[in-house]
Amino acid sequence: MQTKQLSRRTVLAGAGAALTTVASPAIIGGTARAAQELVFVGFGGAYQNGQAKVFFEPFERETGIKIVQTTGVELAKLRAQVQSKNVEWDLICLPDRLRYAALRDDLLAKLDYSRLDVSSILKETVTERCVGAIVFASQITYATKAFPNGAPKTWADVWDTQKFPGRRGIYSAVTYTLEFALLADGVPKDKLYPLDVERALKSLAKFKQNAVWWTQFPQVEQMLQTQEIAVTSWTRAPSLIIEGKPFGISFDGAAISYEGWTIPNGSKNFDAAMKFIAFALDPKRQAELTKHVAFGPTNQKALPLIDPKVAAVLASTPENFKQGFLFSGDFWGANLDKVTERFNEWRLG
Amino acid sequence: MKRQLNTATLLSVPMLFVGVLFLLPLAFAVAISFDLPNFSVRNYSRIVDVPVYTAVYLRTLRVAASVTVICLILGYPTAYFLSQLAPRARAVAVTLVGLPFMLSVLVRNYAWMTLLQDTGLINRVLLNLGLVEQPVRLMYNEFGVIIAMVNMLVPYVIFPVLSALLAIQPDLRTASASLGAPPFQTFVKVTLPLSAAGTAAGCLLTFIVALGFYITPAMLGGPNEMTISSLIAFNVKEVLNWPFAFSLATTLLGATVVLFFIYRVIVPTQGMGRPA
Repeated sequence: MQTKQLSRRTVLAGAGAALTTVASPAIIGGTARAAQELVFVGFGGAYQNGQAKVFFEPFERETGIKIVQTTGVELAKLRAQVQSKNVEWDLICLPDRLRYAALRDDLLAKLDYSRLDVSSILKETVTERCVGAIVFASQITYATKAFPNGAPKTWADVWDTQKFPGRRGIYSAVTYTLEFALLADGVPKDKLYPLDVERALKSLAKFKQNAVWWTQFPQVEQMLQTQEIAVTSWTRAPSLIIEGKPFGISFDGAAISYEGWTIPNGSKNFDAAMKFIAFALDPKRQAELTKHVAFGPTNQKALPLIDPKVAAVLASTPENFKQGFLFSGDFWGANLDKVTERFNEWRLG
Repeated sequence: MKRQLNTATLLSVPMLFVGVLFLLPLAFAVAISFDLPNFSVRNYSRIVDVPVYTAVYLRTLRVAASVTVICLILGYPTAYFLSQLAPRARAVAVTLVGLPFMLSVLVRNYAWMTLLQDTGLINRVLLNLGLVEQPVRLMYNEFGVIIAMVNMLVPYVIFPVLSALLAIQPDLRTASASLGAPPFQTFVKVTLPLSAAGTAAGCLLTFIVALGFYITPAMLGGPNEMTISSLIAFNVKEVLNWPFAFSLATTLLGATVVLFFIYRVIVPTQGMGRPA
């Protein structure tokens, strides 16, 4: 019925409107569109799905700013973007491990702290160009059935193959692994850095032949389940323990690290990105994220809001945090290259 | 003349593609490895001075060469067998040979792990049959790496050899037989030389692809199973030392090119090759 009443003028007007809509991005240019959008790059998987539910979707509803998601956090890509002055990403949840190289190459923008409330954020994670988002740990992880009469609790226990028999898994990289080798050898955790690399390698020599040296984090679940290994250092057990998988962890001597919100240097949407970071630091939202992935909040006010069963396996509760040590992204940023070269030489020797 | 011109026009598109998207970036990478515009060889001196790099180059070349030889030993008879099949059966068999290409390398690595690890299928069967008392170390060493790499690379030998074998006129073999040559002699004097070009191409392809492997050695190898590609990836992705990464890559490329020329001298690559 309606269609019959359409006059020629209406049709023309409609066509005109349609044309304007199609043409408008070209007329107004990229900036108008960009103000409505933020490009986030993450690690994918359950973690990013959780971030979408807890942060991105509510933020979009509240502010009208759309968050476009992509995956594959790689400094090489970030550097290529910043150096070609064609920055696609606006928000990165950056592991502290990568922060040093990002700062050295001037890839991150200075955050505007006048717009953030960081009074209850874990102070170790608050720096000029990065503010803590989540806390995680690499820690002693074992298959519970491998140790029916008591499991290893400290790195010295893990190194003691007489008292705690079973094959060890070793993360085949210098980060984490050398720290644990030193703790096992009796170095106090507040005296770890700068690392005594030679002493660490000597301590590690015990496992050069009889351990499984793994490189891919997802590999470990299968290796623990089939008892290919009995105990290893790992980062992903807390989520699995909450799901009821037969794994155990110990926070004693755990390497505690964090990811922080950062904005690439040269992002076209700095303002909107700052608005998002302020939104994401909220304790209620940080607590909500733990329902999707077992990473600890950086906001101390989030802790009381978390299911105690979940909180027990998170690295940021005061009782777990104080058993571990803060992994030094700065030490590794400055030394990763040289220490890895020495480590490779040791592996071949 | 006109036909040549047309061919040139047709070729210009892929050549432009290769030139702009491959050769030009490659030239940039080489330039960066020499710190141009401030020429220096510091990255190359590091490769020479730190023994790790030479050791890893040699290891990478050795693994690639072993894999190529094993692929040839397994691939040539397979291709010969396939060439003797009726066309319909051959189509099915060729599809089966190509099937593993449909699985990602990562999936195949995990599959090999479930077979080869101490608690894996093979060791469990051996233990249950009482053939061994302790699990046999089938992975976390070079053995596991080579098995998995051969599995992934053997089609690179099979396909070129097969097409070379199929291109041989059957009459030639009949003629050889009618002149009194027993089958083995026909094979050595006729079939082998005529398929040499395809075999050479297959081996070269396998060797070059094998040089680039790094996930498989990392997952199935032991602590000393390092490859040069893993060191390149580390320098590109972890420490962002691109000049050094590019100098490692350029050296690998240079070594491959040198090997390629040596190989060209040793192995006949003409279609109607002389007996080797």
